[in-house]
Amino acid sequence: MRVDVRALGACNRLAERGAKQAAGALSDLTGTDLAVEVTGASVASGEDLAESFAGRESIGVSVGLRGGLDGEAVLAFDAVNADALLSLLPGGQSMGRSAVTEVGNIALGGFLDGWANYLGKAIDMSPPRYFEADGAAVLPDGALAGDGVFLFESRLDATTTDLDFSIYMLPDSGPFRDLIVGKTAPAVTAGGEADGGTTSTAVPYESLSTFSSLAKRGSANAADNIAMMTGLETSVDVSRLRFVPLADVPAEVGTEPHAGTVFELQGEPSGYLAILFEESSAAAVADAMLPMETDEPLGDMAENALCELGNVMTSGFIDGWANVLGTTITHSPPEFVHDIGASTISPLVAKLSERQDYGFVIDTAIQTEGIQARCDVYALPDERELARALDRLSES
Amino acid sequence: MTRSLSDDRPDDSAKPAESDGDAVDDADPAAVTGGPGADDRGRIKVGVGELAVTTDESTLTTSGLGSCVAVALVDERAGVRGLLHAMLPAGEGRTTAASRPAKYVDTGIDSLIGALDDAGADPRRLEARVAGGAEMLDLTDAVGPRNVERVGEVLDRAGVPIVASDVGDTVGRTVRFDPDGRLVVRAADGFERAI
Amino acid sequence: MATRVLIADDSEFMRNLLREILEGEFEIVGEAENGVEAVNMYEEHGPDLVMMDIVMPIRDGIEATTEILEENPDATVIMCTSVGQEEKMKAAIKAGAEGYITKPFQKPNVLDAIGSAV
Repeated sequence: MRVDVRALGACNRLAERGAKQAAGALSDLTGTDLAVEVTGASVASGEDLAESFAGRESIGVSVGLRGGLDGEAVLAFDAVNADALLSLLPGGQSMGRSAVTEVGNIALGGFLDGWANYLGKAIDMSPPRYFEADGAAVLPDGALAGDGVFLFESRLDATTTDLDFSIYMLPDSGPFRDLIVGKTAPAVTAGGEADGGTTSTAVPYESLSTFSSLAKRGSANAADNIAMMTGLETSVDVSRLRFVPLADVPAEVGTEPHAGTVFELQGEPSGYLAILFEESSAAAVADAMLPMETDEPLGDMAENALCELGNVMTSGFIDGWANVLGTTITHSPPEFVHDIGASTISPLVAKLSERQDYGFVIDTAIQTEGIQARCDVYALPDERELARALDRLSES
Repeated sequence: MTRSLSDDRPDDSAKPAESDGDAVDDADPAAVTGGPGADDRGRIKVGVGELAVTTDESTLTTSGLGSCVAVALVDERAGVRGLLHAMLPAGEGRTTAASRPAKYVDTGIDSLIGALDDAGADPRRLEARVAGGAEMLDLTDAVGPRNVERVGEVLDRAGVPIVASDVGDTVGRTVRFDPDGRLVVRAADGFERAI
Repeated sequence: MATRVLIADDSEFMRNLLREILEGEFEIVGEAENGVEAVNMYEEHGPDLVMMDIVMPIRDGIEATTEILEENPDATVIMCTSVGQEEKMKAAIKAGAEGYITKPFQKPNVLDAIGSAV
């Protein structure tokens, strides 16, 4: 069963609008401003999700979905903020759970309206259920069971307080797959892809989880390579395959100064890869690699060291893909960057945006022990080529 | 039968089911403020490929300008300001330009002027300040300078003068469009310059 | 004589909110927590107006509305719900609701909706 990546884009758009509606409702209810920071769909195994959410304690409200969409949706926030939320709601202090439950109900209702209207079918919401959860248990049922489930996630940030919210929606995979396939307008592609009637941006649904595990393995390789070159114990903190609006990626990197390397990927898929450290982490890692003290923390020698590190990490990342996909992927020599984080990645995003609005982003956080350093790896493949490669993978 | 919906927020386009396949329209500006919800020290973040307009004292900000270009327009007399963060020079003729005009310089500026007009500005009184368009990476060919060039062409065609700019070079920028109509440009080292 | 109102919503928080909005000008005759209670309380108190939530356990607001109107064709029901879906609104109209307001709402919206319906 094929999934047109652009239909995923439409779904993403719905999730975004839904999140905005929910943010508006929450702003009204709490009197504080909330903005939707990011909305994306991730394809992640239960294991990945368990790792990403480890250590968090959340309070959530969940509703079951039936009709136009089947599944579950959850509105969640950090348990430490419970009192803050209650103090913002009229009568909240005395009504605790009931207040929170209703807030969740209203926000999720807002989130789902757009989906229902788009589908032309009502989505029945079960009465909301309040719950408290550790780690990934906050996610809808079934998120942890899967091999590669599609989880829609939105983060709503409060601009003046710490009261942030997340919305998770997990559609039941069978019906959702049908939905995406059903909503796919047959794509008219320039130069036409004629084999077996495939559209050039169609991806076999099952292969997405393959790609997801590839991404994970690539991250682990990259981490091992850092360890080899720096002598520092290194681990992958989190690695997820997400489907997001490309234009949102720079904001995720943020406005702090970052240093690192960027690469162009050629082959199938082509695209870009960026390895970015926050300034102090970059300096610390470079330091660990250089045999002698340097005058300036991120001078020429550090630049060289980071370039070489980037080289090795990128190879580690994409060699695995190429092997599994049975393709050739090469990368350009590293280009060193040192600037406002968002600015280092926006040119890549702009370039990719010539052909696509959404993209699969593999974002990986790699942590070194001993010296506190962390880097984020963003792999941005061209969606058509990725689709083609995954397609062939599923046929072999 | 009355139907009073409380979700009449300014940026809700109130469009029900999209009938053309999987296209979900986003042609509306990211935010239009000036209504009762906006407060004096409101800050509106404009993302990559977005635009926003304000009629009050809100500050419009956008970051991550590498090769992207920010176009800040103001009608001082009407007190209306708008900010666009465009990624690529030319959207005309492209299929995505209809649903995401702000991604491109040409369709983005046209949309921005339209939104400002709707908010009460007089297009003939608009002034522009431009920032960004750097050549950040060798990897990505000179998108930055091409963006800047296109900005010049489109504003010229629209009769909007560029009163100040901070463009080119190889540095990333973050900008803040203040209520006084000045564009404050900030680089990675924190150095700020108001134009 | 003040208009007599029955509130039906499974959320204590919401019942409280509505009560606060309405009690100055209206007489609240009862608060139901689900569709079955809503129907029973309607029979018991015969209110002039019902403020009906949609999503409630045991029986939902649309079913309750249908049932109330079957026995009492002149009943006035306004849906108050978090659900803004068009299909749901159509279903509510079909069931006979006179008004439909979506949460979160402010006092003026509620009073407007009531003013138009009653």
